[in-house]
Amino acid sequence: MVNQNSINTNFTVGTEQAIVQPTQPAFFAFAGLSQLDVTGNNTIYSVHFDTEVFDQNADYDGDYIFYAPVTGKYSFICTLKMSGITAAMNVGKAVCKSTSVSADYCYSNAGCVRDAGNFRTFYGSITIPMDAGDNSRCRIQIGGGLKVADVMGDASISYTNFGGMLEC
Amino acid sequence: MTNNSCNTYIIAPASHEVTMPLQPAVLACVANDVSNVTGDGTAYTVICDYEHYDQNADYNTGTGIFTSPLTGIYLMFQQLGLNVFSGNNGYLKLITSNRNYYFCTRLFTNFVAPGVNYFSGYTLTDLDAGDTSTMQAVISGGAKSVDIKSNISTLRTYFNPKLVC
Repeated sequence: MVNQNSINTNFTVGTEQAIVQPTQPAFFAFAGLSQLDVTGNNTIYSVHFDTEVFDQNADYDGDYIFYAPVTGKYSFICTLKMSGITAAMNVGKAVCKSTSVSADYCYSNAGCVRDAGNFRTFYGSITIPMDAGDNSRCRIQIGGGLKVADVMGDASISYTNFGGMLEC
Repeated sequence: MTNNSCNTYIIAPASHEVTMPLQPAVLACVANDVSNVTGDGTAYTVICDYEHYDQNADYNTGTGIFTSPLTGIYLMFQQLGLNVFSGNNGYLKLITSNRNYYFCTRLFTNFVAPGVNYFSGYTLTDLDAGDTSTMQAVISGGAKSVDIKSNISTLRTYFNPKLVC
């Protein structure tokens, strides 16, 4: 069974009674490459997610920006694995930066909570209002040290990722 | 468009993005810092007094209570921004009618960042119609001098529930 307007199939209801929305704006991308020496000295850095896993409505630019195709409420999830964290880096946060509102995540003393390999993972999720044409991206800001902190990327493992979808 | 006798609850335009403008969904935040709410073990009920949206008018900005309009599964995001001090310990607590959830239980020794530290949690929860949900900050190990940190444009302390199915 499907629910259609004049052009598209918006909902698909299978015989198992589960509903999917195959044309709903939704994307997931990850960093296939590491980004070196991007912050650590309080620099605000927009993280690049160059490897798309899916992008159902082609609203993600393939690099780092999602553009809202219609006005609505959008959910975003980001996970940023940082390496090269030093003891001196006493502040750090991830930011979901959109046109109208920003959300900070994981504000903490990065130097103290880093692991034995000098890694620290920042993550967060939120559902925010966006107007058509608004955009959203992920940023990382770490301070207190030198500009030697890296965004960790990998061609096959999505350590650093960004996803979003139109919720309602 | 999909309508009942009163409302348009699903909109699917020719461009095929589906929105549900009446689906229960809330993003409420604390508009300004609130001083000295916990730190000595006080369980402080967080009142998010500014709504970015509240599509079905289910959240009360005066009490901090989200009331489920119907039985279903709800996705809950919540975050606290607190200026904790070294020696403090505590957690973020989500209280629902059916059960409680605890997030980010931790002891701060030398892990404190200057200004603000975040406690966040995400969960799916089952709510019946009329069930309520609130978030609490519970910090102990010191004086009652821990503040809620937040503002409207940069969300630090917020409550973000929505009906998903």
